[in-house]
Amino acid sequence: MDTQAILMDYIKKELMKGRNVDISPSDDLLGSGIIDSLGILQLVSFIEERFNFQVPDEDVVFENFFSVEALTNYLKNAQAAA
Amino acid sequence: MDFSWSDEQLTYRNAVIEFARKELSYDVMALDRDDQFPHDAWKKCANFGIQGLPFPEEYGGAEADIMTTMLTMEGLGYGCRDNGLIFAMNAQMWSVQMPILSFGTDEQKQKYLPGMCRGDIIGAHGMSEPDSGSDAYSLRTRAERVDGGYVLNGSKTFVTNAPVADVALVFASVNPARKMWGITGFLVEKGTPGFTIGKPIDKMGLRTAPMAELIFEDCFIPEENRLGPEGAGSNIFNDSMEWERSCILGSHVGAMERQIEEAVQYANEREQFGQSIGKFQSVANRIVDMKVRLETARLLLYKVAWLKKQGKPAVMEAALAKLYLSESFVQSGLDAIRTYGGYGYMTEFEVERNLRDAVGGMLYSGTSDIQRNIIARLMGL
Ligand SMILES: Cc1cc2nc3c(=O)[nH]c(=O)nc-3n(C[C@H](O)[C@H](O)[C@H](O)COP(=O)(O)OP(=O)(O)OC[C@H]3O[C@@H](n4cnc5c(N)ncnc54)[C@H](O)[C@@H]3O)c2cc1C
Repeated sequence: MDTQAILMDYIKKELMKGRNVDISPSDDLLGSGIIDSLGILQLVSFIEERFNFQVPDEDVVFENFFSVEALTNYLKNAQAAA
Repeated sequence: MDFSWSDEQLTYRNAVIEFARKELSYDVMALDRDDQFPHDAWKKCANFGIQGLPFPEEYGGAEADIMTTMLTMEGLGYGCRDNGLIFAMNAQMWSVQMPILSFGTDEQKQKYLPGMCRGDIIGAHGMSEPDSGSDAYSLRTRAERVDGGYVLNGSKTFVTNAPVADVALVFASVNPARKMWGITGFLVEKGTPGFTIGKPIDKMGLRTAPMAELIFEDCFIPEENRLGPEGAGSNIFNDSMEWERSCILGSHVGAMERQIEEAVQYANEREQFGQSIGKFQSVANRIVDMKVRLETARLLLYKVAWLKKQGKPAVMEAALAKLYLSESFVQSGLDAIRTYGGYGYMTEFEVERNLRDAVGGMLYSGTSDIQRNIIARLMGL
């Protein structure tokens, strides 16, 4: 699975448990209520474990976590730079 | 699995207990009664190295790791009877100093950290507002972008250290539509035009840790006083909560240990019906329950510190520890009073104060209900 698919899979299976809402990679995760602030925290923990990549504190911002698409791009760039 | 501490860690713990017994043995009862902050003790703690403990040497700290820091806090809780002072120090260390270290620019670190480690600068943390407590991210304080900085409007409440603070880390939204992504941290110094500190707030316990409101009326904050990027405020807040939960709770463990030792001593000395009350199973069992709670709480806490030391996420473990320890400290306070009977209820015996101080722990840094919410969610409920 590529990064985007892994993230989508985790969000659907773990963070949206029991909720049958269709999400697309460009959806606003927080704004449209797909996940809440605790979900963001879980997402950061998941990324750190799954991709073995420590997300710098100052990177947990809207631009990088707005949507699955934004997050995938962020991870691609951040991992390439690391 | 290894449950032992290194000699160096134990030396830290023992040194802080000795320091606390010698240097912090002032009349806490009088300060508690009069809502007085122990300025001298604050300074003594800084000279001893408490406020600087986990911070880098270049900012006047000792670079202790989280395990050592937590154990030292445990020693402080054991040796020092002033829970309010310890709470006030923790409030600064984890929710002001640590965010500055993690998110600050070099200038911000140089400007504030050495003074805080030395005890010359006192910091406060303003997140809660009259209409946003548990739902912290619904805050209303606005930071409007203007040329060269921001203008803050709004107010903060329940701010520990506010009456004595030189600087406050304040959270405001630069973009309310973005919810948590709009929240941004600002370092606001005392004396800044448009920034006022309200009258001290009287409270049930932790009375030596002063508290007040912060009010912002068209308060201009220069750009260089923003902490971290715009929108990183919620992460700054979360980060500090995890440290705070581990280390404040460390001192609770120490305080509970002292409480139990004193309860055992009292139960052995106090006689009724011709024998020491500790010989009555009801009394002994109650003290045994205090001990079981203490040891379980300790294990939960050490696990959090251990996970954090490995750089692993500890969201669930921190919530479990916060919930269990804060509730245990309250129960331990009640059980101690029961052991002492009427004497435990009288201020002079310095037993009841622990209970009053402990109640705050179920509320600050996320109430017990909120901790349960976090745990439930992470359990998949
Ligand atoms: C001693 C002390 C020191 C403090 N120091 C500071 C400080 O330095 N800086 C700062 O910013 N704040 C500080 N606070 C404020 C503290 O963080 C808040 O009191 C706390 O977050 C709870 O908010 P609230 O008081 O508005 O209660 P509310 O959020 O109004 O809660 C009221 C009740 O409703 C429950 N509740 C609310 N939401 C939920 C939910 N979703 N699920 C289940 N139950 C819920 C709560 O558990 C509680 O029982 C301090 C508080 C205390 C007691």
